[in-house]
Amino acid sequence: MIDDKRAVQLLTTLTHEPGTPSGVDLDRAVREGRRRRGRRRVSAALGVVAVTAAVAVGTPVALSALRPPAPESVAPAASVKPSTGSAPAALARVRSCEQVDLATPGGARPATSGDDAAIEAMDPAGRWLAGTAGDDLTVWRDRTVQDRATFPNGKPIVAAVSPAGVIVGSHEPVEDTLQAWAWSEGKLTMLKAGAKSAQAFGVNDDGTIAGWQGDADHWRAVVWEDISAEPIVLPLPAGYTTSRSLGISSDGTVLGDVGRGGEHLLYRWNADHRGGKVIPSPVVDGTTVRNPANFVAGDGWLAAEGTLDGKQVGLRYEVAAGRWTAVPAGIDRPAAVNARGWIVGDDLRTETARLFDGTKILTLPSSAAGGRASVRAVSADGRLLGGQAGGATLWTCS
Amino acid sequence: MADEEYLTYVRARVPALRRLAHQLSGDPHEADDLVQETVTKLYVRWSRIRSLESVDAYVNRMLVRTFLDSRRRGWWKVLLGTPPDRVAAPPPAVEERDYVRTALAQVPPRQRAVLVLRYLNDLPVAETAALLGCSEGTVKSQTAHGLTALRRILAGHDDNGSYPAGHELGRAR
Repeated sequence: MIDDKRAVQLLTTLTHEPGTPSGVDLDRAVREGRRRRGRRRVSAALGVVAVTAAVAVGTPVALSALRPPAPESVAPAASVKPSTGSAPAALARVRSCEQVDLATPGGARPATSGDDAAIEAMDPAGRWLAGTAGDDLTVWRDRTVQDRATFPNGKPIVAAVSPAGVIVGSHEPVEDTLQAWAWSEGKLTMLKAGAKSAQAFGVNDDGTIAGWQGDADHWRAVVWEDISAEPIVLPLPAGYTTSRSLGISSDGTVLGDVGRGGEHLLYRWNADHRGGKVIPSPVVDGTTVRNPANFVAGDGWLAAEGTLDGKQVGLRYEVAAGRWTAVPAGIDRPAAVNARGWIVGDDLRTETARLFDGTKILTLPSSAAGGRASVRAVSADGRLLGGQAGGATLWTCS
Repeated sequence: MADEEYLTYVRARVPALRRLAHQLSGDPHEADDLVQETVTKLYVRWSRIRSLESVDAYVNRMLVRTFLDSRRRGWWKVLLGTPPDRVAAPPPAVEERDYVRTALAQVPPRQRAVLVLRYLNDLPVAETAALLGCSEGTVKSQTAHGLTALRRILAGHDDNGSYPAGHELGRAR
């Protein structure tokens, strides 16, 4: 057992810079900084944000598919075999997408961080959309603004939407304290918590909400059986002390992780929430994935990123099949994965939005300057995507 | 003119900021993301910050806050480590660094920030407290908790430099 002195001695080996070339882009910092400054000036002068008209942007634009995986940019071919898994045989590839800019409500508070307006989540059918306009929660139904809600102390985190239009998320009412909330039928409800902080990350067809409660060092995965319910703490396997959930599937399976002493393993709780089992660490075709990270949960799927044979790849795990597969590189940070295992996320270098449709990576069209866009949500059939491209944006794909 | 001044300052500071961000996050790509966000915030506030007596300290504080904020909002993101390779001989220094970095990344974020600021950046307790916006007593207790956590995590690394088979590392982001 090492002592404090030896621990500090080992720590001091970490004094060098990252070995990778700098990815810090000062031109982008100035560009984004000017945009944020402008937003502050407008908000100071007007105090409100003007209504944005709904505009359908142009005709359908062909998606620009990336080239087939090249040896220098993806893992070896043997590892890049997207599984079809349980996806329907009739599943068609996406050929084109159309950008539709959604209206945002007037009177929203100006954004103090992040985007001016964006879609952050949608229900599996894509009828209910949830996001933010300025710092306010904004709800769209059938592409029309349905409601907006204001939170104290900044912008809320909007996490998930159920088929019935229940929206869940969290916000920070005071520094270092998070509160889980749910919006349903025009009413915002703060979820009960048995700890200082709580966050909600998923809600399924039954209205069961998954999240966690605790504080920065000690957290436990919980479910709320409905908006007014007390949180139910999910059981831990022997020897583990912390847990958290990434989301909940339509059948009630909760995906998350369990931890002890800083060690974390992916975990799935059974639909009855009384037990579960460890999800194996990512291994693709016998090769262990290094540094898997940025996990997101969908209905029966996990998506992540990692390093395989020295190359950055996307990853997905089909819960029913119990199998990890690699997907071509091109999405730096997965934002969402749907019931078909389709993944949406952004390419951070080009600041473009991307879709993995089960076979290939596609770049979504954007009318914003430089084609910049960010995608956050995907419907169950993969035909509707949500995010921002200069404003709250929906992509309709066929 | 202000842009030139900002760019001159930031260009000189990026290497140090990347180093601090890498120490905090343990991931070179995330380190760049943290620095990118910090220098963007800095641009927005530059007209007020440029005249401060200690711009460096202010920017370091912005970076640490950005790191802690990313942890709070990103707890659902999980980075699972992979079992370190079993080695027969003492590992080269670079592997030891990787192992220590992975271990440090498992220490809870605030405790990790305290360890990084105090032991990797030689900040005294008072300055660490000022930078984190907490009391000196909190810094001391977080230091003790952080070192205990780090020692426990490093305990899997025996004196011969070999890693126990099947020892699985994981960390929260």
